[in-house]
Amino acid sequence: MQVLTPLEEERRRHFHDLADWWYEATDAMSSLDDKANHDAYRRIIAMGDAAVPYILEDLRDRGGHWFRALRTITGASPVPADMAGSVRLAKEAWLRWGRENGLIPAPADEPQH
Amino acid sequence: MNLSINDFQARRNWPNLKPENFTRTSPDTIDYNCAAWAAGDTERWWWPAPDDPEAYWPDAVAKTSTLDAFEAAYATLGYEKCEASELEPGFERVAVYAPNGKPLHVARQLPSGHWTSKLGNLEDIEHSSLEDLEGPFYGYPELFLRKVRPSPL
Repeated sequence: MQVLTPLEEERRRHFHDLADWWYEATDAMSSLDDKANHDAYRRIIAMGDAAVPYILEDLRDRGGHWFRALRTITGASPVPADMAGSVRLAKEAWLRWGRENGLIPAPADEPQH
Repeated sequence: MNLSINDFQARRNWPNLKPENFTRTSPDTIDYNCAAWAAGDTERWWWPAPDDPEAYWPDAVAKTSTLDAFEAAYATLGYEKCEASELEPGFERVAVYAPNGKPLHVARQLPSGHWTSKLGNLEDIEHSSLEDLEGPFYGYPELFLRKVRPSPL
């Protein structure tokens, strides 16, 4: 089991507080601009690289529209052009990218739900 | 409420939506949204989002959040602008909620005259009228489109 430092615990709690706020405020929206312009989303982006593992875990577990935040923070574009237009394929591509970069565990190591 | 959204959110977003006025018709998912559901697509998130390649928008239609762009997007499926939301036998309607001309939600009329809506990331619901979703969150329907309803197989 991963042991987090107090700083990591605080960052994780901060991320989840912001993410919960963001979901609560934007879950019923379709506009991706409106979702990404919410204060909580901007604050998560402002956390920078430290937020990326938490974003990827949340993408895996709750499936929010985290793609713009991931692109902004990491500069990566792991979604091939022929997968454009599909949220499901974008999610799969980003989770694969996260595993390849050691930011989230491979499926066999993931906690069982 | 049947929604996974909590009661506070529901009262805040849709004050007209009462338990007796709607039924949930799908689980929540981010695979598709209201505009896709209205278009009959459950595989993509339809929205004019030039900064978000994971969103789908028909080719050759402007990726702008305007009523003109939504009219053009649904025209690719055979819809044309009409004036009213009343049930018209043989036609399927969609309604675009757009406060200040900025589209925020799309609903599709069912043969019964009821409406079906996908609520962002949340569930699809069947609701009695367009008024059920009117209010501070989605605004009011500003654009109505119709096409000949496909015949059942």
